[in-house]
Amino acid sequence: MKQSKLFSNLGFRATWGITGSQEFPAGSSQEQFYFGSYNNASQANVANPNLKWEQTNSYDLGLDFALKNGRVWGTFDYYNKNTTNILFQNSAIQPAPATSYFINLPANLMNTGYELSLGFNVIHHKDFNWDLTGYYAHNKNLLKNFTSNGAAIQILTGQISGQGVSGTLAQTITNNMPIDEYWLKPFNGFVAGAQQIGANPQFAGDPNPHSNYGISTTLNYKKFTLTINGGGAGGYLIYNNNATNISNISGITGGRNIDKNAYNSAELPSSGVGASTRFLESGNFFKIRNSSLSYNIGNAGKYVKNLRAFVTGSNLLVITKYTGFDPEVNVDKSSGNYPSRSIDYLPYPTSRTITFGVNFSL
Amino acid sequence: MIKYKNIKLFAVIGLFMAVGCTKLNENLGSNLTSNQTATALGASGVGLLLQAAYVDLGTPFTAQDHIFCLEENTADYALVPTRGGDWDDNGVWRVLHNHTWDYTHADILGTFNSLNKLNFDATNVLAFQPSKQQAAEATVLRAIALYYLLDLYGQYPIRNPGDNLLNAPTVMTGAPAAQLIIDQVTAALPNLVSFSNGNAGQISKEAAEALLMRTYLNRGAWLNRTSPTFADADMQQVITLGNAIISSGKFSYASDYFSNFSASNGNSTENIFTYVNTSGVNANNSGPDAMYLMQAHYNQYIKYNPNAGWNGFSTVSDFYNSFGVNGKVMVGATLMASANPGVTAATDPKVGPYPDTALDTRIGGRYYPGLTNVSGETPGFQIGQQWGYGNSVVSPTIVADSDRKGHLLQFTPVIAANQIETNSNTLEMTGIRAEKYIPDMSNAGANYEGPSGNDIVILSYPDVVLMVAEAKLRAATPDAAGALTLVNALRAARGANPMAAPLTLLDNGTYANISSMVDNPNCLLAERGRELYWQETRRTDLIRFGVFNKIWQYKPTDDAHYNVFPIPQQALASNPNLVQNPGY
Repeated sequence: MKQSKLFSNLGFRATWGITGSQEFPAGSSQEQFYFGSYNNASQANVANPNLKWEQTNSYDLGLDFALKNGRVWGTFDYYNKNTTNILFQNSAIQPAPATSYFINLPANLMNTGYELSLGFNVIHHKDFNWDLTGYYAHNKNLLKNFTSNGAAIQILTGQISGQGVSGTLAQTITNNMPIDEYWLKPFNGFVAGAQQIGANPQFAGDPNPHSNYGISTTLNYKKFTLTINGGGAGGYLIYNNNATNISNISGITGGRNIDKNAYNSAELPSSGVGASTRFLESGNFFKIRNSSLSYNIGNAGKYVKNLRAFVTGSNLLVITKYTGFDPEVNVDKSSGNYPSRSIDYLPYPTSRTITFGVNFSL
Repeated sequence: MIKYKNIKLFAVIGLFMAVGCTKLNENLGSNLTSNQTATALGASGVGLLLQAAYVDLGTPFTAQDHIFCLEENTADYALVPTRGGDWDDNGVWRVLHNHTWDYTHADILGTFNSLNKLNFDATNVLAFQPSKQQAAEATVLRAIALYYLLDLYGQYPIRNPGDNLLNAPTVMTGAPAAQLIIDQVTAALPNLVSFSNGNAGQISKEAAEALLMRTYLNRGAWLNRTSPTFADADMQQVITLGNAIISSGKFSYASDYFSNFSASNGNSTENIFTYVNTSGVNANNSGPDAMYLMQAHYNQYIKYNPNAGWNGFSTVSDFYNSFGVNGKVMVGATLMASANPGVTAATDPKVGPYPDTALDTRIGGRYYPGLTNVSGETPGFQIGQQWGYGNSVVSPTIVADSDRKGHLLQFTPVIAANQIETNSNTLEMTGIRAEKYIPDMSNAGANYEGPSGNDIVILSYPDVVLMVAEAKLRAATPDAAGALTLVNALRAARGANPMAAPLTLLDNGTYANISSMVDNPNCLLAERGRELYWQETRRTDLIRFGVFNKIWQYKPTDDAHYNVFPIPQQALASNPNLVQNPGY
């Protein structure tokens, strides 16, 4: 921008498009007969010859800018994605050979939000340079028009595992709610050493993060370079299934290990076990994902060129109130092909690694 | 120039894409389309489709979580108390016994779907070219599904063979629904084979007749569940069909009651129609081991199967006590159990140590060769101290069983009033256990946890005899003497003393709750309970006798709308012809 004294670059963007998905099992549109190994044959599925693409209709408005001195730059985006003709496993109309079949549901899955990223060149000096960039993204998800014959559809998913809670489904996909909204009985404290759990489940919170953010910074001082990358997410709840199992004090009577805190608490072994809001925890976290400090030695001797020594670490630090291993939960607790989110059960713990090394070329 | 070439290139590519992306022809790999199947199967291959329908019987009738819990847990004599951290399962078992379920209950949905799968597969056989016998067998298999759907849910969806599965089928309810079952089974009768011993897994004429008897007998209850009335013509049909089965001579009482439910019950002389399982064979095995694992304690029989039991299902003391006759103490010490810890032998002469089980072989509780010598368990009702070959370590000699905390394992009749056990010293052993299906000890116990060989009994001869006796009592001119003869012949076969005349449907006089049968168990409803316990008919019987809503042990309240189960929410949402039952 030649005329402006402030901005070296300022632009507006607008985009619109439709993308599709066809992720349904092969053959869903044809009737299939399956020959079992033990002298029987039966129809295997309910066919839907009208299956078609799932469409995501999205538009985006954006703003890019950079200041004249080159020291500050950034972008801002607002987006709106509307997925319709959702490929959905509907209950088959009994009597039928299977309990579900794929249809295109005329519901709308809305994902709306904004993203903001900013970069600063904080210090720009011959020997000392400091860059900082960050981004923040906010997303909200909502399922609309998820009805059949006028009534809201309610799908239950999110299997809770463990002794005494088998078959409990803790999340629901239903109209006017985010996907996988928690559907749990309320926890009402302890009475005489026994936990009190309400009789009926209710909507209990959102497992989908509302905000994601990241920070990256690089410092250069003469021959030293330090980079730090971190990020986090917030605005969601994690269901701690591990806690449901190990705080089940009656397990100790059967010779199973339990949580030491539960053992020392006033709760009695006869208190019972159940999935409830007692085990919902905030998932807000900030992690320093990786960091690297390096020293550029330069050329050493006749043959070794570009010698550089470094120490790098990943998964260095996590700041969170969540009591489980890792607030970034990635465990599949789906039920009947309906996905779940943020239910933590026996995850593989993330490891912190630190690497020392040298780089050079001959 | 370059720009022009590019435009032409894009235009050509665009044209190809536009034409190519409208239709996809897919070849299936290992499965066949319906047209290919019709050609591949031919006339003789339709038997494979029929076999698939037979296999579908396994799921609804076996294990604790389909028809079993809907018929037995909701009745007066079975429940699963929550034992500390076990069997809470989000309350699904407690609400069944309490009569507080709603339409989101998982087992109500599971049973609806598994019965309808049988409904569909049997209908599908008729869409190909079945022989007359195959079509008749498929029709009766479908009628079994329709009978249970009508009994449990008050309505059933039904398709014609070859219907488009994307369209909602018609739903039948009430009198036309019952008549359809009767008409279809009656039409199928001439084309069925006659029953032959050892072949109880195939639909025979006698099995179809037994199903018809059930339908005629229950028709009055389906039309009015709160106060059933019974047409005399229906009762005469029941008597005629039943007498035909009795006088055919094909069935007779076995000398050993539990042999009809053991792992080698394939040759039973009492079972009319069963789901066949074979010991050690996984193929089409429906998992009958669940029927005995579900009440066994973790430490019972650990020799090859540590922790095999699930320690759940129990029966109630009122039912156990109903094995007395006229409440009188028999010679030989028939002291009965009490659910009230405060009641002792001093205050009530019926209370004391657990009864001599020689009273009635159906109680079990005695040495059973093949079971007790191997595992220390006794069949039938297990109460008091249990014995076995070790608790945490296998012992070569028989020792007293203990629970997981080391207390002596003594099943007690007392269960917590709200079905939630909180006393940590006793929560593992509350509840009298009932082991009807004898554990499969074949192959040195290798099949104990499956695949076991117990055939699951769906229709049986004692049920037929008791239905004839009931129809005689309900007929316009009741034949109480004839009914009593039939019942006493059954009791004689079971080593029980005969009932005194007159035989009545319910105990003498009207009663406030079922536990009064303890004091006066000389009635047909009590006899059906004693004979057919754990055989998935109790709720139907209680509704037919008009007592399903009475208060009984561990069920403090009830309401008439619980006489029929709710249609599951998923089924309602997908089929607008289904109407939710009142009160849900």
